[in-house]
Order: sequence, then structure tokens, then C-alpha cells
Amino acid sequence: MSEALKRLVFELDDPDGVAEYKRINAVLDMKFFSDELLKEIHLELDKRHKLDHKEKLGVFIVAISSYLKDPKDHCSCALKGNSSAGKDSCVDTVLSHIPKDDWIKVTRATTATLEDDVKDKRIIAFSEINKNRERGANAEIVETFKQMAEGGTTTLKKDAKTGFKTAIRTDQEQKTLIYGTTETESDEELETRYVIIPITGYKEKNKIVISDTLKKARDVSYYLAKTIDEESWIATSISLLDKDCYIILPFTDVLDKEVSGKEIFDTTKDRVKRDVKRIISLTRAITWLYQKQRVTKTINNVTFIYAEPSDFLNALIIFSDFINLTYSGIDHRLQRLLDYAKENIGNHCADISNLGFEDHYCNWILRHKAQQDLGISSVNTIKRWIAELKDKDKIDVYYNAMITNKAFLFRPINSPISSLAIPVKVKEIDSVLTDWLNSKEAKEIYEGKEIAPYVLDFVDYDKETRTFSDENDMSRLTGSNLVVEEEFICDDEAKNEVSKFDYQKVLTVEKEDKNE
Amino acid sequence: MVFTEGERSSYLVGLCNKYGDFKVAKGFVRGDKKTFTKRKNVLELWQSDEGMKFLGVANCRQILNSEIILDMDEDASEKRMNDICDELDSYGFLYKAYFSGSKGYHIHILENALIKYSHVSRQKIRGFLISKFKCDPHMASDNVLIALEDTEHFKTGQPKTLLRESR
Repeated sequence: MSEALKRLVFELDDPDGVAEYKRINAVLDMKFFSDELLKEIHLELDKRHKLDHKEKLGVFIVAISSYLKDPKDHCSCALKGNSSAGKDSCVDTVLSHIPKDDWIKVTRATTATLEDDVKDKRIIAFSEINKNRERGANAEIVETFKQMAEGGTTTLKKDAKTGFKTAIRTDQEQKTLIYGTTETESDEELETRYVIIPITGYKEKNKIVISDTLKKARDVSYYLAKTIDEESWIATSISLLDKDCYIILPFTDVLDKEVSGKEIFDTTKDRVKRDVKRIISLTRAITWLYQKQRVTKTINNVTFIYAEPSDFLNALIIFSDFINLTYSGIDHRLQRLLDYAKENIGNHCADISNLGFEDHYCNWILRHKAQQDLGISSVNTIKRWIAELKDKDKIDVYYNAMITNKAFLFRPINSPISSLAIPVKVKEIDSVLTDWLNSKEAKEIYEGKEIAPYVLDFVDYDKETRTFSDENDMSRLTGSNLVVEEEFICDDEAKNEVSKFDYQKVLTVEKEDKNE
Repeated sequence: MVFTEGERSSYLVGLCNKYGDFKVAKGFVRGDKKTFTKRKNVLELWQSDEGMKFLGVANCRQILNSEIILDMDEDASEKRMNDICDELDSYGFLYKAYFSGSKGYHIHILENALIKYSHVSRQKIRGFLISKFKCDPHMASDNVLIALEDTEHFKTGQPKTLLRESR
């Protein structure tokens, strides 16, 4: 564009014109040609939202799925966590890197507006939806929200423009919806439709956020940067990527077979069907981001982009923990309580005997001790969690006022059913996919292109995110449920020896919320 | 210089090739009223001998999507035209300034990137420059017809003649 026209557009000072100028002159960032694109995006997200690495990258990939051509691939997610855990901040950070015209974030909306007025938006985000609470935020729109996230909506309404004499039909394809909730209760219908991403708060996170806030308070350049309304390189580049293309995963044949004697996807629960579709859609979203680096073929004027195994592995690395957690049907906070109970069987024995309980209650857990150890500030909270676990047949409870009215006991019940949607380790899947990559079939598909897999490994750039420093990891991962992995964190040598996949696992173990 | 019929059709086809399709018409005076034939797309006309013949006699064309026209019908003088041209030079615009063949002067500014803007933004950009130089505001629209370059004006018979070009 000539300088003359540019000058004219800026002299005109019309916001739409300037936005259009920026759109017309937008250039795809070179990072979209780098195999470390996901890392670059992660680092960018990290500038605004500290910690929650997999969580924020997960929300971002979910948001990106809204750009896939097939509406059935549009995924949705719910961020579950306590108040002030950082749910809103995580969503805001992700949305700030998505083109502005493509999303809307609201604190409240009516069913009618959701059905009629958000057609042009790819992503709809809600700050808070609390379905199970009486008069909970946006509880009335949950049903519409479910429909929008799975299959889309078709509504028939009387048309006010014609004096309610005729009806208008409004169709909306499946959209990407994002919402936050503080509830621990789960709605099965909601959970099968959404990727549940747990957001936890803990001491180190608070410290980092406070330090950041204090740093910004004294930083003039922070406020100067705020005055420049520049779109992020991610958003600009997303607007330039091809949206009219289908993504093919040529390696799925391998995933249909057993790995190390186990099926990759657990088939004991019905919901696994949706989980598998979701992980495939999220893989497609990653491939879509990498479209400038993937093999592309045009058949009958339809463009196909071929995913590489690393796209699937990255999707697993980011999402398998979330999907496994949701698959278990328990909120991450309840899971923590359950894990605590499992790991402390027998540890409360002396206290239980002192309170006057019979010997066979020795292997039970004292509620008040669990509350104290887990740092749960309110007794009502732990009461509610225990009631929910009891409802789900995960624990037994015992209370006898005749013995003492000061103690309440509970113990975990062993369930023989596997509760992991993806019981196979990423490392094992990686090995079979690497074998496939060397096959003749793969070479034909990728037309002899040399595939250089980039598998996310947060460890390799720990200094840039400052999160995975030993100090932070040590303090974050000192929970009793980390006995096995703890040595990897503490010992640098051991850290180098452990594979990146194992380390990944360690980094995403859900931890304590002491600031509930 | 005045185009022959052959040159005129070649010129219009060339413009269409370079800047995209647009409409042309033939204007004439019936009684004391200006009248125009139905507007036709150059791309369509181009496909037949009859169409090429029409291109040879067309004397008006639609404003191009990549074009801004400053029409100095009111308060038209060569001095004012030169003042505007000087300012356009300072911007760095590519333009050609013509005597319209009728009452005033037309300055045709060609800016390829303008085609990438939406219809609304294009009108705003044109409108801004037109109002800046106090020219005919109707020329902000995409649909206005303008007298064809190097062709006799259908009202006066005088040719639209190039007077000045951008530096």
C-alpha cells in the first residue's frame, strides 16, 4: 500500500478504516513457520497469565478449534476452580490473542440473545455459570449452552417485525463456548460436552501474581504499552490463516490398535466416544495452527491439510490429564481429597483410637485432619465435598455421636473400573507413531517431506516462563500424592534422566488450594 | 489527443484488465436533457463484436474501485487545480489531471490498495479527500459515471484533455 493512502487513512481517523488498514496490511508472523510455534504461543500467553501452563494453552487450543471448517470439530471448555483462582484471567489472556471480531465475552446473556444475536461470533465466553446453585449466575441459559456446544441450535420464533404473524427460523452451527464455574457439582451432560479445565490457586501462584501486580504498579512502560492498541501477532496471523480447509489425520489406524497390550482409549464408559472425538478435534486445531508447515493437498477443489503425529502427541500432552480427570467424573478438588484419603490410610490410626473408636476404624480418615492437611478453610466446604464423594460411591462415611461428636470418619472405596480415558502413556503412543512415520504409507502421504516432530516440552524453556524453577516446583509439588515423582523435581540429574513425557506428567499434577 | 474508436475500446479493455471490471455507457443530449444508455460491464461487452463496438463509442465510465476522482465543477480554475495537484504530490499520490471537456477539471487518483477496502470504507476515504479539497461530494460513491479520458464530452463535443500528471 502506498504511503499516500496510509497517510490519508490515518488522517481520516476513522476506527473502522484504521482497523481495515491493519487487516489489509497484516502479515503472517514468521513464528507460524517455526516448528516451535506452540512454545512461542505459550510464552506469549505467559506474559499476561502466570503459571497454569497446560491450562492456558489448553483453553487457547479449544478457542482455535472454532476456526475448523467442520462445525462438529468446534470444542468447548469449562474452567473449574475456586473464586480468585484465575479463571477469568486465563480466559481473558487467551481471548486477547484471538481476532476481536471472532469472540464475545459476557457476564450475562439471555437465551434469546444467544439464539439470535451471536451468529457472527465463533467463540462465546461467559465469566461465570453456576447451574447448581440457587439463583446461580446464568443458570437459566445452561440448556441453550449445552445445545450450542453440541450440534448447534435451531429455533423457530414469531417474528416481531411482522406483528407476530409469521415465524422466523434461526440456525446456528456448533460453537466454541468457554465459561468459568466455582461449582464442584458436575452435570454429566455438560461435562461430556465440555473439556473441563481445572484452575487451582496456591501460595506460589499468589506470590507470582502479586509480584507482577506490584511490578506493573511502578512501571511506566506498562501503562505506555496499554495506550497502544496493537493486535497481538497471534491474532493477526490467525486472521490470515486458511479457514476453508479440512484436516486429515493419516495415522489414526495406529491408534485403533493396542499399545503395550492396552487399548489407547478406555472403552468401558460411554462418554469415551465424545472424549476421543474431542481429542481428534483438538489435534486438528493444532494442525490448523501449523498449516503453513504441514503437507497440503487439493482434491476436487477441496483443500486438505495432513496432520503429523506430533500434533496428536501435543494434544495428548496438553489435554490427556484434563480428559482423564473429567472421565473419572470427579471434580479436581474432590479428587484431591480422595487422593489424600487413599494415601493416608492408617496414618490417622493413633488419633482415631484416642477418640475412642474401635480398632477396625483404624484405617479410616479423620475429616478435621484432612481439612487441616489440605488447608481447606471452611468446614462446610469439606462437608460438601465428602457428601459429593459419598453420592458418587467413592467413599464410606462413619459418624457416631455416642462415641464422640467431635470426629467424623471417612474412607475411600476401591473401584475396580479404570477411570482413565487414555490409560496408555504418551511415550508409548509416541513410539508406535514414530514406527508408523517410518512406514512406506507415511512417506507417500507426506510426499517424502522430512518430518521433524516438535513435541511440547515445557522443561526446555523453564527460564523463559520462570515457573518451572526448582523453587517453585518444590513448593508446589510437595503434596503427598507426589511421592513417586518428587525425586524428579528435587534432583537435577534425575530430572535430566527422566523423559520429557514423565516430566510433563509431574508438572501438571493438580495441587493444593490453600487460599480457597 | 482524442481516442479513435479502436483506441478507446483497447483503453477500456486495458483498464478492466488492470483494475477489474466496471461499467460503461454512452451519454448524449436529447432535446436539452442529458441521457445515458443502459450501463454495461466491460467484461460482458468484451466477449462480442457488438460489445467491442459499443466500447468504441462509450464516452462515460464508472469510477474504478481503485480510483478517487476530484471533480472541480464549482469554482473551477486551472490555478486551483494546480494547487490541489501540488498537495497531492506532497502526499505522493499517482494522479492525472484533466480538463473535463465541459465546465471543470477532473483529477483521477489511482491507488491500487483502495480495492482491498470495503465499499463503506472506500466511500469514507474518497469522501474525506474530496471534502478536503472541496470538490463534488457525489464522486465518493462507487456508482457514479465520469466522462471518459481523451474522448469528446457528450454535451460540448470538447475532448477531455490531460493537463498534468503526478511527479
